[in-house]
Amino acid sequence: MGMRVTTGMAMNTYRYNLQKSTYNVSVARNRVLTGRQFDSFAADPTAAAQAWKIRRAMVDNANYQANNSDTYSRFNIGWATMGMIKKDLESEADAADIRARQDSTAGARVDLGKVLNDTAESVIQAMNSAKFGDHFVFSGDDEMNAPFSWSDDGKTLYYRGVNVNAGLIPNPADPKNIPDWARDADGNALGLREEADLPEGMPETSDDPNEQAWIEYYKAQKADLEAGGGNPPTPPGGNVPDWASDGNGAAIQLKLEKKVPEGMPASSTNDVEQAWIDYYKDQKKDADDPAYTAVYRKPSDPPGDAWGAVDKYGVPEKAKNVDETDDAYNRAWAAYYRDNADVQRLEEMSAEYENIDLGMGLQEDANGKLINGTAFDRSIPGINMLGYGIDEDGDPVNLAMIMKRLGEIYSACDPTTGAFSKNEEEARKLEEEADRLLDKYQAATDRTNASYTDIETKAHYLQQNQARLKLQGDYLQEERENIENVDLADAITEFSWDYYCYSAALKVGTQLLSQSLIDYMN
Amino acid sequence: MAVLGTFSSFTTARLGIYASQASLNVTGNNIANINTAGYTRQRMDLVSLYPSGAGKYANMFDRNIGYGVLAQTRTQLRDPFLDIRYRNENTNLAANAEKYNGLYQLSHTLDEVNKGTDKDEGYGVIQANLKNFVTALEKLHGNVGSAEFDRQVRGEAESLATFFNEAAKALESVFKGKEEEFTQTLKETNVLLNDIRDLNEQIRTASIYGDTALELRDRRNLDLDKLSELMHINVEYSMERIDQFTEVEKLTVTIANSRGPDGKPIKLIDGIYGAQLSVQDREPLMNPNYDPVRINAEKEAARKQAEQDNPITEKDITDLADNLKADIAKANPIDNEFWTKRLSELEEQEVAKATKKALDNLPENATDTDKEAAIKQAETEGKAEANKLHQAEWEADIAARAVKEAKKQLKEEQQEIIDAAVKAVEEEQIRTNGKYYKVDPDGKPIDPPEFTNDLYVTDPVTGLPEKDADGNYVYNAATFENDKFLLQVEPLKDRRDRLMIDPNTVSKKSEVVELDDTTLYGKIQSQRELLTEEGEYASNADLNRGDDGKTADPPRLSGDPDASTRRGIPYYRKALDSLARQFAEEFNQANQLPATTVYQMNQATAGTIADTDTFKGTDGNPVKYTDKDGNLQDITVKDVTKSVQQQKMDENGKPVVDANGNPVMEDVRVPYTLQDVVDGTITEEEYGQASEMLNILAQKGAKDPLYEFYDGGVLFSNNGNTNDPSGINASNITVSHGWATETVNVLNDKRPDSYREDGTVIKHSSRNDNIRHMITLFDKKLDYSARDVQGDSAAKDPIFKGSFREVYTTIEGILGTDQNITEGKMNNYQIMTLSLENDRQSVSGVDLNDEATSMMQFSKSYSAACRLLTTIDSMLDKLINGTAV
Repeated sequence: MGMRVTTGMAMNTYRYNLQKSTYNVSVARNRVLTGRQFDSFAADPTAAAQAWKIRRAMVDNANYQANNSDTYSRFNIGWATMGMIKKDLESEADAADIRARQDSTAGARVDLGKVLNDTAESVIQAMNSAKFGDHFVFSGDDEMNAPFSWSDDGKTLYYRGVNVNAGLIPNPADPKNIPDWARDADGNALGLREEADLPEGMPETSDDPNEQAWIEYYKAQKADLEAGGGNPPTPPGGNVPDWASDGNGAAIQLKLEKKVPEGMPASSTNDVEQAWIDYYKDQKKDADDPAYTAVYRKPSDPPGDAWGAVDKYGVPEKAKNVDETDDAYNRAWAAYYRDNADVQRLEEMSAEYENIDLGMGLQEDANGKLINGTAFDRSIPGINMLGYGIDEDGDPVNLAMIMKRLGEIYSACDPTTGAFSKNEEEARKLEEEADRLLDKYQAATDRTNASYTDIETKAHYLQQNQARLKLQGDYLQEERENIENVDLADAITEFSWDYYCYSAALKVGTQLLSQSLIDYMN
Repeated sequence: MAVLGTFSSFTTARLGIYASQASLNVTGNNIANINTAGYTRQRMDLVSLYPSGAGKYANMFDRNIGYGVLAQTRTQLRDPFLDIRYRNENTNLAANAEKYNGLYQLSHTLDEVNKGTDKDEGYGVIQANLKNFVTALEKLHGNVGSAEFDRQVRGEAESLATFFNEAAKALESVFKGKEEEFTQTLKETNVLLNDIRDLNEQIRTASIYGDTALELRDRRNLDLDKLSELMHINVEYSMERIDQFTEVEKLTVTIANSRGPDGKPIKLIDGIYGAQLSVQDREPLMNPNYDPVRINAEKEAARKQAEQDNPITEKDITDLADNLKADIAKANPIDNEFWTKRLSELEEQEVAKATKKALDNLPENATDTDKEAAIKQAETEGKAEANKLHQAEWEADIAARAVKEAKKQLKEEQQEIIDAAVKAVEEEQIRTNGKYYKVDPDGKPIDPPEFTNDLYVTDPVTGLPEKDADGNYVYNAATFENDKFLLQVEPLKDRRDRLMIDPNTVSKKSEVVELDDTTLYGKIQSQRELLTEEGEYASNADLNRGDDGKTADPPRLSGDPDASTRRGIPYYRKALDSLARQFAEEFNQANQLPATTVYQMNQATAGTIADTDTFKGTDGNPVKYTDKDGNLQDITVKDVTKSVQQQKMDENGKPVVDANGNPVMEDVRVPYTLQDVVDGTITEEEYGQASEMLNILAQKGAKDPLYEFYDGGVLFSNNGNTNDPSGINASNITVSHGWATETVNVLNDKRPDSYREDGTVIKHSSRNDNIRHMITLFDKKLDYSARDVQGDSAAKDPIFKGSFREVYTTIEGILGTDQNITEGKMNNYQIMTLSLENDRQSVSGVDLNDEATSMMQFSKSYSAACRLLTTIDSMLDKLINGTAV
């Protein structure tokens, strides 16, 4: 005989199974109601871990999409602004058109100057007005402040406080910056000349043979002294002319003297030239007065260590404290150092970046430095659009500054004749400059148009990236749903089956204690 | 006897009636108890009454016929082997069910699958807040400089910190709930043990009087079933001799797989003796020889001895006074105000004296000129005398002052020596004769014994004993962590509290047996493990190891070699603490620059940063702070930064190498981190103090012009009213006071600004490298060391590795997997227990069909016996009344 089945056993088993059946129905019902495969980590740890991983990726993806959208908007604003500038330049200040207007209607140069001047300012205004929220689009990494500003006289353009024409200040050490009068045929700086002065009052020639002999004697003596003094002439035997007398009846003996270079002006408004003037004057004083020690350094010699430690831009400490009261050498070098620092700053600002996380795998190396290519650089420094610095001819590179200079030249033309200047030489130079600048203006316009295209390309990339991110997001969403969500048909089928089992269990329950032998006993 | 007597047949019939009646009664009892919990089916054992031996007059034709039937005894239908198996599985089921219950409660907080509001879209709570925080950072990254985005980050940080706090609170609440359950379970266990002991006694008494006491046994079995839920037990039945002729059954219950001090299983019940479970005694162990009077006497003796050994002699005083004179004279010059005045007084006095004397000595006929001359002379002499006296007085005063000062100094020196000697004696006396035993982590006195007077760690300011986060006193002598959940078995006692005689103990009486961490198994143990197990945070002591990491010998009571893989509520609390701490630490560090970079310093050597250099304030003076004694001190470089060797970087952030390609190292200053506290570089207190100093520097320090933009600092602190990041955990993490009041903001970038030579600033208002760094922190795989949170953890290697979100998922995963496995085991044990219960029911359960059959059977036999009686009656009637008459 098999196992004895008692009433208690049947009850226990029934209770357990009914409870289990209830639980199953509850789980199946929750699945249908929530549409989820599992409602706790414990229910399916593997799937839950996988789902969290996908959810993390979804959060990141949503952030990337938001960032991409923001960045795209910025580029759109930048693109629209540059498009407007491009259109303005084409309609108002086309290079070929300017050339034609300059040549054909010389009398209209003043008007042209005004147009160019106004267009330059409107270009800058447009750049400054490109904003995304309260962020200036063309400000590099200083988006809270407008990128460009004009000096009070409207002649100097600053990009975030730095002169866009930086590089204009001459390097005193550069041989080409030595004044012409101080330069020898090879381009090197001259030393002090040594000359013997002829006696004062000596005529060029004389009809008196004696005097003529003395004249020739002194000329020969001068030539001999200046040639090294190896072959002194013999003095003539006649009477010493008055102009050759030393006052005691003896003849004057010529001697060599140090002289500043010929053509050296008394002073100059150019600090470098003034430094050379100071230098030569000082050298001469040193030579003339044995008690005097020269104080001025050669302007082409850099100040070196004497000016203290240099900063990252190569500016020595002393250069930061030089002002108008300092001598020309200091002013020239300080101005050069500062200007050179500005050149470097412009270069730095031109290379500024603003990384944004667009789902390119943002990652830092062990030193916390961003790994290239893992983020998108959204910065659009305005100076890269319009150009900065000075070219080899000393002309501005910046589009607005070229227009300004051209405008300045045209505006200064004679309103009637159209002449560049009343002075012919100056007029010729100005015309040459205008011609040169027109060529450069064309190049600057092309560069600005290229920047416009560059922004357009990047904006296009952002569009594509947005689509890619959206697609990724859709895939992730689909994957998450596959893991987390139930197939409703399956869930309902499962629920129906569990409910059926539960109903059956209830039915069985009603008969569990139905009858026993006792019910049949009389 | 061989032949039944004539009327004996009646007896046979009567016995048959009795037997059927009794059996029918048993059947009725069975039916009546069909729903009684623990009831075991009974049966009336019937035996045939049979005459044995031969009668005196027996002959070969006699036939021995039985006398009928006897209802001998009631017995139970029970299989002891099934009981053992059932109870074993019941223990397994209870152990897993209890564990599951604990994990399930934890999952309400930590398991975030399908949790959170609709707004969170299934991202849970903490996970959703981590998500929102990183999203806010991403937005700030793209909109640096806009205050509203900074505030949004702060808002999300506040929310995240709050949810960390709430999760920690919820876990604490689960812990406290389990603690109460544990206390309740202990009470329940002790009630059961008492019940079983009492039932044993009743059954024993009944047995002595020959009663089977079946119902009492049922109750006892039911109690044993319940006890098997609470712990794994062994039940043994043996016979106990009552007297020469009587033996009764004795029941012994022991803890399965246990080993007491006598090497035998630990008894919970031994017949009529029963034990109780209690929490191990952790009262301070008093030194019986502690005698404060003696310690004071020793101190007094030491004082006298030191005084005697270090006397102050006159020569000492004179010598020192001579040395001091010059300084005292300098401090009290003869031409000071007092002595100048004194000189005037003396002059006045001496001149008057001399004048009087001179005038007295003048002859009477002295002229006015003589008088004048004499007065003048007297004035000169008087002044000279006054000067002499003045000098002498001054010198005497200086000498007296010098002696007084010398005595004072010598007395002070002597007192210092005496105090030191007395203190040394006092410390030694306390160490050898103090009030309490110093104990090891198991609470045992250390060997050789040492003593202490300070049982608790006292607060240096209030002098009151310190309490830990749970409100318990912090012991000075040893760590009692988790000890409150270590149990002991009290001595076996009978109902009248009389101790059981136990020949195996020294006292020959039953003694307390302390249970170690792994003795028990079942519901109690599962509760203990939920309350104590720290997983990877377990210390060497928890792992039954010595401080050297080797297995402890003798084993530690609280030691469990598998402790590092058992995870209870403390593990999850600490794991959450680890996450909160690491999160706060990373962001606090990311939002700071070393003070030496940001603030101007007063450098001893220009260009070199020294530990003792101070910081310049905006007022030009060194910036100061108030120390714990209330004194103003300069904030030094060492207070707020440490020096580390780092590979040098060039301006482009590339590592610099020398000609051989070896890295060029440089000394740099960096802020202190929580890791420095873990490493012991600074104390927790110093770390907190450093943050306060940085706070002061932020308010009063003069910034380097290139760092004027700096508004970084601590983002998360341990209290919303401070900027103190020390000891941050899940329950106290909060947005720092500085951030909340916007004196600290999210630091956009760490690079210095640049200035043009004319002083104009080149601004970088939208630099965002530091925020980008913070975003990368979110996906950075960080190492989490258990020691960061639990200083004595034995785990040297990181216990988690991953991003913040991954680590949270890992914690969830550990809980979820454990819960999943435990639930599976619980379900299996439930089926097995049900199956075994069914097996037991199969043997012992009442079945209505069975009982109906018995009822019919005994009813019929009853009728038959009655019929027999009628038949015999009619038979005898015929014989008596109808035969031969």
